[in-house]
Amino acid sequence: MTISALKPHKEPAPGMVEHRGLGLWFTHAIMIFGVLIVFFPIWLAFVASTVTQPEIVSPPMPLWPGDHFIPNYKKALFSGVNVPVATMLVNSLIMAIGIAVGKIVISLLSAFAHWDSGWQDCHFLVVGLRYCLLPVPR
Amino acid sequence: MEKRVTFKGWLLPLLLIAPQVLVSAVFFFYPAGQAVWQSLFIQDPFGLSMQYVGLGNFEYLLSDPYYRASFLTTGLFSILVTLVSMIPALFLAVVADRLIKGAGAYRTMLIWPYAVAPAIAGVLWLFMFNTRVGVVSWYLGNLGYDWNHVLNGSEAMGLVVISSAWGRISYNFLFFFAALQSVPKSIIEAAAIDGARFWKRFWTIVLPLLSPTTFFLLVVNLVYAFFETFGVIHTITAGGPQQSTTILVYKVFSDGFVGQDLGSSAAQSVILLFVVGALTVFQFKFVERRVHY
Repeated sequence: MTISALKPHKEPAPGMVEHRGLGLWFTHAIMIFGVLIVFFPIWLAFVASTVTQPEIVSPPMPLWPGDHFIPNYKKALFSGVNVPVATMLVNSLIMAIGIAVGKIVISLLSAFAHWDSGWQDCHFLVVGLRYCLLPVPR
Repeated sequence: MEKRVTFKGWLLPLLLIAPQVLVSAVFFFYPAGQAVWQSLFIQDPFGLSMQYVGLGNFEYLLSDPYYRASFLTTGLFSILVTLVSMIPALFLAVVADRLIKGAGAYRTMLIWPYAVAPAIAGVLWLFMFNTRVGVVSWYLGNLGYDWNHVLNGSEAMGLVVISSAWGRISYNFLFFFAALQSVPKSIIEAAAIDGARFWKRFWTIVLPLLSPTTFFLLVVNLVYAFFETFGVIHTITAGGPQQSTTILVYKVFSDGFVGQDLGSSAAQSVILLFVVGALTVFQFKFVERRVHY
């Protein structure tokens, strides 16, 4: 799936199937309602990151960002609770790059064997492996 | 069949697949073999002695009411996760498809939850529904509803389902949105000229054209609910209250690593191995061929 497949139409197709006027605003309203529900947990996590600990644990916690954005993020990034987040970010990056490169290299090699070899047994072996290793599509 | 360019020897192809064979041997075949072997024994909790029991572990499991209940829990859980993640996603995709301006901003915000790992999503929803400090449970309490997923099994199930389905809404939305964009506008217009209203067009044209995507997502979401929701369950309920959210994968963990009953745990993972195998065959048989109508 490419990004271009996801892009909306640049040129609005003038037709009878598009909503206009009141209907369009109604569609926007439904969309905003849905987005608000789906996005709410992330918004809440962001709000919690900008207020103090006592504000979070005394219900109800605020739903609008507070004024502790900079001290909270500074503490998390550079001192952290156990490990500073900056260190963890570097670790994650190293791991992610290693996994991505390793996965691609290994699959690329076996894909070459799959497509280019005249050796039938090898073909069956690779197809068999595929059955064993790909039970979970993502 | 067309003629392909082929290698003459057998050494090069063998060398090419060697890394994959090695990785799968070390990380899949060896552990799977160990699980099969271990499922035939009972072991003391300290791993000092083993006794051969044949299929005793399996016999015990299949007569264990908790294990059978876990099957039902898994079925209910995965069906609910699939429905809760697919229906809102389809709805939002249909609405987003009708908008020309602003669809990009909505899409960005809708895709965001997919970037949250299952365990973090579990913590986030637990934070919202925490019985003491949770903001949603506080407002529910104000409305007169006493939310307590720690005591109430069906509330626990609901919370686990929503937390697992939440990130998948984004994923399903992406696929549905892409599929909707590829529905030919001319067919829609032709139906509109023939007098078909929105719902008529949706049920008779759009939904049938979406069926390959829908089927693919159905299988993918079921597999996700089966095998990748461990983090959510572990962080929110840890299988409780009274095993009401213990799905099969979680039971493998809790019996094996918490209960130290390694033989039973291995037998359970062998049963899951067969489930994975069946799902894989199902998927390759139907999804690869696509759904035709």
